[in-house]
Amino acid sequence: MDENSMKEGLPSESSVETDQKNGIVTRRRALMMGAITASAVVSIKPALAQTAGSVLNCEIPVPGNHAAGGYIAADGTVVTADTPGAFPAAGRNFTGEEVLQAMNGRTLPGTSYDQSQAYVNYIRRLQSGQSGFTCYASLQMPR
Amino acid sequence: MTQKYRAAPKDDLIWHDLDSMMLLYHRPSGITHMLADPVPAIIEVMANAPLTAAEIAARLTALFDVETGVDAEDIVIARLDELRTLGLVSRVSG
Repeated sequence: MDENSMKEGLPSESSVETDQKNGIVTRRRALMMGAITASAVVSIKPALAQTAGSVLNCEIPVPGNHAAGGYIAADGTVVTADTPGAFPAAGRNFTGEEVLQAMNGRTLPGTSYDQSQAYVNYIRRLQSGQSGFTCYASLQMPR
Repeated sequence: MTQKYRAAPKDDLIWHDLDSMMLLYHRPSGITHMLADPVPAIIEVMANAPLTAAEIAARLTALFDVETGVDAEDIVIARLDELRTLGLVSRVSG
């Protein structure tokens, strides 16, 4: 936006300003702010044709095939094996149920607290196309 | 409040304008959000830079003809909290 056009406008129309360089009249788009308590977003989650039972049985490998051989840093990023403080791949896939409980305070089975945190952070970073993403996405709490 | 906020990276977002509302597809989660004003404008002015709610409100006022008689900053804070629960905005520490 041209900063010059914000300095002065026509007296009777505060939303219309003249670009002093070109004499072009620009009108800013009106923006309704809504009320503080009024939600402004409705979310549509991807359609996952699974029953509630099977969702919790779906599996998430740590890490997935796309990162095979990598270690998991505390923040969940995949790093090289010689990275200090990084954890090796989990010896098993985790079920949706286990990850859901880990997100609510329990540790993943067979892991220490820090290791579980690292794995959960890895899972939180999963993107569409990566193994385990659909399973993780289906765990997200509805609004 | 000096708390800063950052919007999701532009590359993670696909926008679709439906006139009466804006659709926003968030790639990492696969979720489509239907957004009403002022949310699209808020995300637009955040433009990948960490900003306080006051700074966002100031940018909105500069770029748009904002509805008068409202506390823009308070409304921005409320919408940012909503966007945080959806994973579209994060708080920036420090």
